Amino acid sequence: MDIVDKMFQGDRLALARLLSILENNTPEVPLVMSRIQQNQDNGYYIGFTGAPGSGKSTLVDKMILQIRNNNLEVGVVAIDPTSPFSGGAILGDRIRMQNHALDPGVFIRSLATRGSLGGLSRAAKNTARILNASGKDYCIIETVGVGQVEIDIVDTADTTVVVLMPDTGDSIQAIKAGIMEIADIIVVNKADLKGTDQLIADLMLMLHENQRHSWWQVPVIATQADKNIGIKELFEKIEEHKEVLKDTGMLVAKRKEQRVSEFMEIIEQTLLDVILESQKDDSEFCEIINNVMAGLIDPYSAAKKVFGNENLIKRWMMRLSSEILIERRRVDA
Amino acid sequence: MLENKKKLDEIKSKKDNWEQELLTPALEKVGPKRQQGVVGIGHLEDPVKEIYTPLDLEEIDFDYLKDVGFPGEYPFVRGSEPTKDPGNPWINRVYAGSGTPEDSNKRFKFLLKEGAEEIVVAADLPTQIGYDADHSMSVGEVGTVGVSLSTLRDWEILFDGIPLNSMKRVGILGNTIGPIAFAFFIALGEKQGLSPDEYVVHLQNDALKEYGARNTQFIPIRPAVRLATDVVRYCAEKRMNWNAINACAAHYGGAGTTAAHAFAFAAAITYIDYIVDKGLHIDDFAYLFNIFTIGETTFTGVSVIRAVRKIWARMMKERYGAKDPRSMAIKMTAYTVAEASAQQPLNNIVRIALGTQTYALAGVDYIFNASYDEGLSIPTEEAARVCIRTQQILAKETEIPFVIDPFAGSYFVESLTAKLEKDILHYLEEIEEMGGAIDAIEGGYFQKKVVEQGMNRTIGYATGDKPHVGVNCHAVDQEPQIPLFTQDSGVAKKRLESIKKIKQERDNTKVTQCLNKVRQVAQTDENIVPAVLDAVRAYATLGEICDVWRDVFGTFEFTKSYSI
Amino acid sequence: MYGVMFLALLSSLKAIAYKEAQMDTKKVLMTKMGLDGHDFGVKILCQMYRNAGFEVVYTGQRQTAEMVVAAAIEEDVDVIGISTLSGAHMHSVPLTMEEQKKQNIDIPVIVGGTIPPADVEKLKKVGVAEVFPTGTDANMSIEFIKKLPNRKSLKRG
Repeated sequence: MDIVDKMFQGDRLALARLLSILENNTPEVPLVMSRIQQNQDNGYYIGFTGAPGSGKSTLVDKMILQIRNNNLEVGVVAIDPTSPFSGGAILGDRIRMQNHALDPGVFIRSLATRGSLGGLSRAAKNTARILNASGKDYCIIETVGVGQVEIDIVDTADTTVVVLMPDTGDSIQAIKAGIMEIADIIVVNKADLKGTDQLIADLMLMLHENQRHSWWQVPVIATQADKNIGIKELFEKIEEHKEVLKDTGMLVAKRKEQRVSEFMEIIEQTLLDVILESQKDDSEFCEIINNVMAGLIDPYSAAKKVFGNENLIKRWMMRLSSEILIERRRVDA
Repeated sequence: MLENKKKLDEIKSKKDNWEQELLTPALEKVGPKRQQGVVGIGHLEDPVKEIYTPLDLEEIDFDYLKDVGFPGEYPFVRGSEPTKDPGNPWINRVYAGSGTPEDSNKRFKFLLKEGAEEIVVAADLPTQIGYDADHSMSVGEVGTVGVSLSTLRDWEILFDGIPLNSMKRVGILGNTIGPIAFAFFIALGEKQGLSPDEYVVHLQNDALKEYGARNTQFIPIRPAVRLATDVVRYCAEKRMNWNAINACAAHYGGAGTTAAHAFAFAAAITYIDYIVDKGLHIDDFAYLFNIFTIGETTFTGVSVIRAVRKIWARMMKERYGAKDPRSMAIKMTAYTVAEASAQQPLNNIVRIALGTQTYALAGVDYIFNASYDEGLSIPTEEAARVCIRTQQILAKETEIPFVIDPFAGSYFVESLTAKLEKDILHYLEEIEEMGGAIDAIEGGYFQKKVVEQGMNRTIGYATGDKPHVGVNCHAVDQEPQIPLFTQDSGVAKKRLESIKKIKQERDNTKVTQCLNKVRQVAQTDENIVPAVLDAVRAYATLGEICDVWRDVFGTFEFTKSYSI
Repeated sequence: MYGVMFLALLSSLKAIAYKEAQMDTKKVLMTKMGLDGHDFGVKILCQMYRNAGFEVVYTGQRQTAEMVVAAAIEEDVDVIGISTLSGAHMHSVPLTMEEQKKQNIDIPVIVGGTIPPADVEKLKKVGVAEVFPTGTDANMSIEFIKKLPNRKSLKRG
């Protein structure tokens, strides 16, 4: 019995180790992901994003409780930023969720954003998938709502909840940054603070003017997560959104779209890697690069030259297939 | 005036000359100086100048009568009283307690024999957090960092043979259990045949400090503020001359001395506003306050304490309309821990003595100090005796007690006092903009400041930029071994038996009635103290009373642990 | 045919993308157990560790041995760091070691804080990897963690 079987049998350590494989981007990732292909869509994905301090973790903590009260199981991926200076990170979201530490129906995993290789979104997405494959009914993905990459992660979610709080400039920033575009549900947390009514009114107006879907009106829910106010309503809205997605066939369509876009992403990344790799030792390619660098040729003409060079393309193809062979051997072993 | 201006111009030109002709070449010889922005606990945060002159006083527009004045007079910079008794310049306190009440009673008697003037009872963590020794959360912690105290019987044992009025004062932290600790002292006095005006109790009772720094809280923050202020109101209404509450800077020392005092002022403002809201006038209760200061290095310590006295006096007069000088003259408490190290622990005797000397020079009213072995365990008798002797040596063998506020008028100290005052007020303004102490704590501001400065200090130690003698420089290969205190391993068992026994002996119907009364009062706005006092008299346990509070007010959720 | 090609391609793509993987990033669980509330020290250490390039999971305080070990399993950390200043370490730390055995795991545990010299050996005897008493240079624990073996590989599953 291997680690994936163990995970399917409910072994928490095996599940944790599988998540480490994703976290560390080890070569076993493709193999692992192919093993859970059939099970990864069993559960439902909920994304929570919003600025630091908006109370996301507390909201997620109460959402876990809500889901558990319905006798359902939940996985959580809590993402915190990696320091660009040291590569380290402080993953503090567990503090808010420690009441569930001993609940076998809850599995919480903290994740750092790590490098910028584009591997971030994949590791996080795959972590969520494995959590669902392990039998969780829901998987919550919590991110710091800054930057395109994290918006991208939340986009994996079937329902995306954007968390705002009154009386800060963050909300306006969020609107400007386009974060509202990804919201299926907007939560105004800390709704006992002044400015709540105004913020809700502004949001309603904005949503009214920019309705994205005919089949879903984005609701605004006021919560006070620390007092457990509004949590039930939020969960009901998520369920409502889930039903609408199912009824309209949007859920299936969304998953299809996600699969293809991930596939394309992988293709793109690999081709890019092969090409980048070749600039180290392919003399012909290097010469073109040097000419571009010196300004002797414009980038458009240079690109035309590259794609007209059959030998260069052939060498790239060879590189690609040798990589495939190496990887095949590794996986077989 | 013109004469003065002429004089200053002359000083300025001579100083410029001196800098050019003497200082600059001398500095070149000395080489680059060690970074002056020292980041120690309660140390200077900003660089200091080479020398200070009358020009620095001119810069702060120094006015003796306005900025300093006389001891016992507004703005009380030189102290709350006109003079001090050179024989007893301050109260020599000792923080003590561990194991069972019997163990601690023995230690108290030893300390009092050695000359301690006030015992500050150190309670163990379960007691501080409102758990009896028989609670599941108490396992492993009973009697470790302090004495385990559950019922009035324990207090009777703790002070057996020590009448409360035989000490100048007696104190306890009790920040989250303020009304209960307070009630224990009253009920114990009754048992000893004393009325509250025959002895003085010094309660720390600073609930907010727990949420901001020490983390012994167990109910939500707002009800905790109410309970703490109930004690102050009770004392005010009974005209008691106890110390009902401290605004503590001490535990925030890591944030820097000015930020720490701003936190203390913010907490004081929260308590005061709460009490004023209840209809009391500032002069009815301000005298019950005390500031637990921090600032152990000589010049910063002296300056910051002078600045704090001034800020308090002005705040009382201008913000709260106090008329009674007693409200404006704040008394100060200080605890010296210095940058004590676990390495070469005897060095700590020197460190702690120097810190204590700072407080003596600053005219602090109540002083206690850490023992040299504090970083390793509970003090041994020998180490505790050195604590007491340190203060006795300063009080009896030096000239410090004879002159009040000896640094007044120093170009350096006066300009530093002015600067620190400005810095404290700046931080305080920041906190008030956040909505005050509660919001600042809940927003993680206090903790963040302490951790930020702590980081700087840790990095300073690690790189050696901040020397720590015997630790990052002058370390030894073989650490000297000193004898350490060892705890009797049977403490928990003894405590369980004692609680079981008292629960059998007491009138349990009466206890239930009293606890119901506590519950009923907790649900209203009424003062909790009388109900708690009755419960304590009936031998209700601390844990039982706290359980009622948890029930009524809810439990503090550590999931809210403010930021990291 | 197409399916096989796809899988092969997928594998190769991942492998290349992961070449610059950060497999050596150490993941540390920091915790405070029991009633000990002095948490400035552990928070400062968390920052120091972050700055040293570690990923630090902080559990918060008032943790039990069961909570600590459960969190360490879920996060699959390389090391558990317990900060203790309340003198209860001879209670909480051995419990944590026992709980690890019960859960069939063996994650290195380091302990820091107010630890009398006599307890250092006792802690090591119950399986603690290293003890860093108050005043220890933070870099010493950083270096110690860096040298710990990396647990996160399939083989150890």
